[in-house]
Amino acid sequence: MNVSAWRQNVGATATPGLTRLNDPSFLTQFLSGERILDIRRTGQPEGLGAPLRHATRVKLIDPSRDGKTLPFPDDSQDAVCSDRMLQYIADYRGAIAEWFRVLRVGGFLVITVPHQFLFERKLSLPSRFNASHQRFYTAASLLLEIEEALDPLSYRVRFLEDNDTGFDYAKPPKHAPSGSCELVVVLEKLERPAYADDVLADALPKSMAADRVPVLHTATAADGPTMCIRSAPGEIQTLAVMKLDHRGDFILAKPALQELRRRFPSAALTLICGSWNTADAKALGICDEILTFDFFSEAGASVPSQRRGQILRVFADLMRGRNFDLAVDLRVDPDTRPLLAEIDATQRAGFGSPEQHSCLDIALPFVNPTMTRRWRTISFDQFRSSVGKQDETGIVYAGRSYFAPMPKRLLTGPRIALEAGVHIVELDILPTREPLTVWIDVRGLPGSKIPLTHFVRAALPGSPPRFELYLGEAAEIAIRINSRPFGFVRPFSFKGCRLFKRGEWQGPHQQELMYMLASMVGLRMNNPYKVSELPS
Amino acid sequence: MNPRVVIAPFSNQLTRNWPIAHFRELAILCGKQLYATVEFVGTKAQRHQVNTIVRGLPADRYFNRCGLLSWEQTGALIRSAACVVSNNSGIGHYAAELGVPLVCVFAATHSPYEWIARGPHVSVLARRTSCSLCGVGDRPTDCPHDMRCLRDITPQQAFDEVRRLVDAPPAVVEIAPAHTAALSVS
Repeated sequence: MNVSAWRQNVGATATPGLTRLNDPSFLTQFLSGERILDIRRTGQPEGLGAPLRHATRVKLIDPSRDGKTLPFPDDSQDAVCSDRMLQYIADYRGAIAEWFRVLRVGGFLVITVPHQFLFERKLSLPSRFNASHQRFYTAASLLLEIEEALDPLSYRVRFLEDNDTGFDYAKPPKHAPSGSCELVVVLEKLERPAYADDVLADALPKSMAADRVPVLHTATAADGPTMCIRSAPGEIQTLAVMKLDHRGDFILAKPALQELRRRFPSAALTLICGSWNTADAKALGICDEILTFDFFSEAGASVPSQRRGQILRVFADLMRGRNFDLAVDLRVDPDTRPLLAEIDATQRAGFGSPEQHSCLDIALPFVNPTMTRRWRTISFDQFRSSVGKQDETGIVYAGRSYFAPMPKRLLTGPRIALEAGVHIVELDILPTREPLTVWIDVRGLPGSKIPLTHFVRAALPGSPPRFELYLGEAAEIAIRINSRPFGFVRPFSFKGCRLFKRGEWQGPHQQELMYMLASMVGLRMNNPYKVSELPS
Repeated sequence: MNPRVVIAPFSNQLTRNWPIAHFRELAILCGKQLYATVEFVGTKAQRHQVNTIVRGLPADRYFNRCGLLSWEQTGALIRSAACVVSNNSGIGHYAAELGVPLVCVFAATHSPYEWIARGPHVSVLARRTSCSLCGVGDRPTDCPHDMRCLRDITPQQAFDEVRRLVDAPPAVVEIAPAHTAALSVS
């Protein structure tokens, strides 16, 4: 639509009344330029509206659709006035943005709308008096729409008013209001400041990393694939549960077995257990099938390693022709995981990490309370050295290699209080040229004035020399590191030593661990997923 | 009826948030190709950021609900959605729990295997980079790679997942009854 077509709707009007648009000082302040656009609705009575005699009147043919395409260039108007229009327009953002577009910098956009609690006096749509109203307005809701529509750095609010001039507050809401009942806002268009784009820039700025030094990261982030992990629902119809260990273990596994049954009520459950547990398994009453397999002996916990290959073949024969949607190994120790790997199952679940057991789709790594060791470090700076020099990182002997018929004291450690038990001492000592064998002596052992001695060899990074120390009672010991008798003093670096001791830690019980695995399997299979890579 | 897509562009860590510009592009794709109405949810303080998304988009199709809805109202909105798009965030977990299809964009700061939203209709997009699981904290500026793990997940990739989920409306999820069947023991 061209300008001339729009101008057919232009006309002058003078409307007496209480609207702010009849206030001469308001008109002078905000609507006094040469080029004023007065936007009104098709069908809006001529008797209503502002006395903008010299204004260009634009009647929007269908305000809900067309309010956002004004046929005027950018920055062409001194003022734009939208009097009681906005409430009809569905796309208020587009309309406000378009009215603002044609406004020059320094010009004013005047918007009036019926006030929700003066005109409507109602909490929610529909309007009491005009079914075409699409929204109710308060100052807050009008400003929300303006903030959505306009760049916040491109305007300022110059006037905001709930205009209730002459409003009759005695009139009940069901009667049409008398007096003014409008909400008026005036915006002034600003020149956008130079920094405006920076303010509105993405939440993740692109350039700010340049001036910082990476600490934890590699210098580049090599491209990897985009993974897509999608829900892949599927019902578990066949379930194999393995509990091959002993009577006590089976008793402890009962809550986990019951939990698996509860989680998969309609699955055919095959239990694989030692023959000595068959009666218990039947009594449990949750199995559709019981298979016996004596991986262990009834009274022995370990399986000779030379028999394992043979046992695996027998187990594979037992499992041949069977397949399961899910197989769960409830043994906490890792020795039955190779059997789990022999079961043809869509999903396999068990204890340990996928790094340890590649057969595991659902892996429950855990901290074993029996095998866990508490540890402490004795730093190099608590040691004295007669041959090496100490710097910030350790003690270093960088001198020549030489033969010493008598042991040469290399390092003398502090006195350390240790509790009774088996301690593992690990030396962080590394030869810098040839491999080095050192002679350790430990002083202060209870009931003995003779030091315990060990020879240990230090050769490769990553495999520090270590020895065990058995203390029948608590003691205060000192570790000394010497060259071996009739041996060589060779260059080395030393960073300290670590002491480990098996700890009695009140961690999870075996029964709890098995129950956790059963619950974990249940939760996982509630929401199974499949991982794929998206094409790049 | 036009599908409703609810987008939650925020989480409680900036380093988990997909770029705002990507959300805008995704929203436009949803509007143009699915004829969807798009509703953005967040807190009152996040309104201005979502305004940068919806500005210039039709107000009768794109709605900034940030700060306007209670948690319960947000839940009702999510229930009515054909699909929800979120970061690794609470809204994602909420939608997944309700069984509403969810597309979840994961930063490599966290493992999706540890934090994936649990539900029957979830698609997680996660980019694996050499620095994955870096443990960068709250500030994107602490990432020396400008959060490439998030930036490189494209709006088109996310949209493809939205379309897949919207085109395949979820089956009703039934909770299985307790196990009562008589069992035969061999």
